[in-house]
Amino acid sequence: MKARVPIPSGIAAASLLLRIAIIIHAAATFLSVFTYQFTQFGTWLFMEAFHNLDDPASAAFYVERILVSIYLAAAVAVVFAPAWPLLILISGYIFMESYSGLRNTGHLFSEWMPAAYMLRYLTPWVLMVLTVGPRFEKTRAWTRPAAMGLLQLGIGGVFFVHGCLAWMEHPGFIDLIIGTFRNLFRIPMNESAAVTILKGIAVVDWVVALALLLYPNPPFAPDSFWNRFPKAAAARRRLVPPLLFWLAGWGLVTALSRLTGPGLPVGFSQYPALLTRASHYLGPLALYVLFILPGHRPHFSLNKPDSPHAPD
Amino acid sequence: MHPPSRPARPTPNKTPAAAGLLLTPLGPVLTLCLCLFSASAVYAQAHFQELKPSPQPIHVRVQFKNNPANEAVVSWTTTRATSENKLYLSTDPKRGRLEEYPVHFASQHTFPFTLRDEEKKAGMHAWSHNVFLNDLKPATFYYLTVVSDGAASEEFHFKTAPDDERDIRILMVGDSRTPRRGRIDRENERRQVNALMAGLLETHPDIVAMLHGGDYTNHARWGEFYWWLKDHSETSTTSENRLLPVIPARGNHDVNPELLEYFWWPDRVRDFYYTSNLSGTTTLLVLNTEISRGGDQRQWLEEQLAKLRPLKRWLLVMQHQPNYPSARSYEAMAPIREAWVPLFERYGVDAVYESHDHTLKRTHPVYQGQINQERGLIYFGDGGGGVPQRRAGRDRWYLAVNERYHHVHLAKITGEEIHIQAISLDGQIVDDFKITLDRRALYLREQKELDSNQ
Ligand SMILES: [Fe+2]
Ligand SMILES: [Fe+2]
Repeated sequence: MKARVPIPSGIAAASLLLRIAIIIHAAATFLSVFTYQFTQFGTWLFMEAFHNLDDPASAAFYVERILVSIYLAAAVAVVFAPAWPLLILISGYIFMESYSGLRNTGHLFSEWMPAAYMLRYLTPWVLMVLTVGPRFEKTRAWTRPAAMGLLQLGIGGVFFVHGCLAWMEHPGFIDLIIGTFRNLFRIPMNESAAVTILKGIAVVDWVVALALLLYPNPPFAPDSFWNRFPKAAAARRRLVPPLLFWLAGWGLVTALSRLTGPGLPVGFSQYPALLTRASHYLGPLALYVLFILPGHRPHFSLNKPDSPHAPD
Repeated sequence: MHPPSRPARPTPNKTPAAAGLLLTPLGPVLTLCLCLFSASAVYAQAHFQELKPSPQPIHVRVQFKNNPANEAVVSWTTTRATSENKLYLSTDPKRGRLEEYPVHFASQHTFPFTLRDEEKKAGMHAWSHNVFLNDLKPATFYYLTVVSDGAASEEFHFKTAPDDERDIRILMVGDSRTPRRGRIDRENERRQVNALMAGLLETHPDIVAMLHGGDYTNHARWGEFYWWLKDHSETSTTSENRLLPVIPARGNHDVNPELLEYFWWPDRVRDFYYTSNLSGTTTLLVLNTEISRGGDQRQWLEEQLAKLRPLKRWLLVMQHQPNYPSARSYEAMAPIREAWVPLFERYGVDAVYESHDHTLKRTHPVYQGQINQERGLIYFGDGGGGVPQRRAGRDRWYLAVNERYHHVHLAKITGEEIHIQAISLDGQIVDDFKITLDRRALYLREQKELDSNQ
């Protein structure tokens, strides 16, 4: 294996983070099915597809368990070898989950589900770019910018959508705020105060989502573009890491609130709610390492050098 | 993303054999899923049917809310716009002779039902007409005929609730969406359950109302709700045209705003959480699990319980998603349980009727997360009104009964006890239990002790 092209550390680290996000998501989905929290697809099977079987619930649960086991196996395989067919299937499965949620309309705002799941099914695609990209001379230079662009899209989209749901006063979010304040800080809170906080969260979510979607990144505006404006480039270097840490931190806090909202002790089957959102906190971290760690410089054929701050 | 077959390819990460092995079963499974998706899209169209334009009133029904002894809303549907919509009312039968009814009321709220694109395309246009009646006399039969642009319904009648201490009965049902035999099937499970209720209403004239725990249809859209209303009015009504009043809760499948059109009430200030005085001794608290449970609703619930507990012999709760689920994960229901159960226990709610899980369920008496035969509270129901039933029988520490039957619950409420029976489609009694503890006395005693300690 001497001829192997060295994978740059940024890409290797991001790939590792995303593989962890995928295996956590798969394990959590597996766990939730086996603790009797039906998946969206399973619910859809029960309600629509298996509808006129003698025992639609058992049939749906059976298929659900098979699918989720295959999904977990595929995710385990991906940790060791992120093969692109597996990644397409994983992304397809997660998308099918979110699309079933839309079809089921079994809860408020279910029509937002595919959008809210955006990062979860984009994560395998980012990983695919990171895996396949460095293998070919033609795509090597594009690996990092394309992965970053996809991550920006997914993370920005998730924050934007959650901002919208917060703005529309998602009752689940209201209760997460009230519950978290009660359980963690022993502060009683009424609904209107929680709604006010929620509106504030919505605005912050939108601002960071827009900042992320708009901050021009290769290939839309390559680093070479930034190098022409040294002051702006310096400001960007300073601003992007805190932005990404905020995104990762907030992704983790909101995922954790699924545990703190209902109160202690946390039941075993509540953890999937924290874990299925793994990409919400690991995704921004992956974007961060891509931003900060060296790219492909020795093998790149870019005209201008890579981001100037990147240490070698 | 297919790699080009150029020699420039550096030693690639070969797709491992394990991946190929995994793909073999996943391919057919995913193909099957896709086929199912598309097949269901075709199947899902069956209930979009053209409605022939007519002023003939259909879906004649009655609804109760806060004061079933004095107030009701009578609603009906026409399939074309009508200008004159009237309800003729009397306390004795007039057999539809309109001139003999002592009073009549114009519809206070007539509106076209909101239609989605598929419903417009199919031609499902329909109009709703609603009359809010107040100043009704308690425990009294009212006979009514509704007329839209000269087209009259048959004469129907309903009975208001008593406001004294007499014994009453109530029916409880939930989850009547998507029966296995189809939404539009003439013999579907929803209609069978309705017919069972109509039969019970005939044998037990003291039934006040049908409490519905939510999940009427998949989406609370007209294309589906048309059939629910049709099934309800055609099969829940007795052979002698006695209407079974509905006291509705909101389920997770009912979050579309259209639900307010199907259960119109002049002042729905709160989103489907309210009290309903079923008799002088019994109050039902209807809760909404689909909105914030820890906010305004919780505050309202606590105020109501504090106010009502000293006054009423029986306090019942109806909510859609269960505190103690029979099929879904127990721990995943923690957000609901944490919000309300401590209040139920502190103020001594007598029983909680739940839906959503699609089995026949009864818990052991539960108090503070443990079985407690003395103080425990029983959670029962889980929705058997037509939706396919889940395979039950998983062992849970709190479950006393967990079966797979379409069913309704019939409760007889007397001064001493609430006697609850679950009845399956073939008329068998499949569960039977009693609630006797005088929680009001217990509460008053404990309050007194608390006061004297202070
Ligand atoms: Fe349901
Ligand atoms: Fe439900």
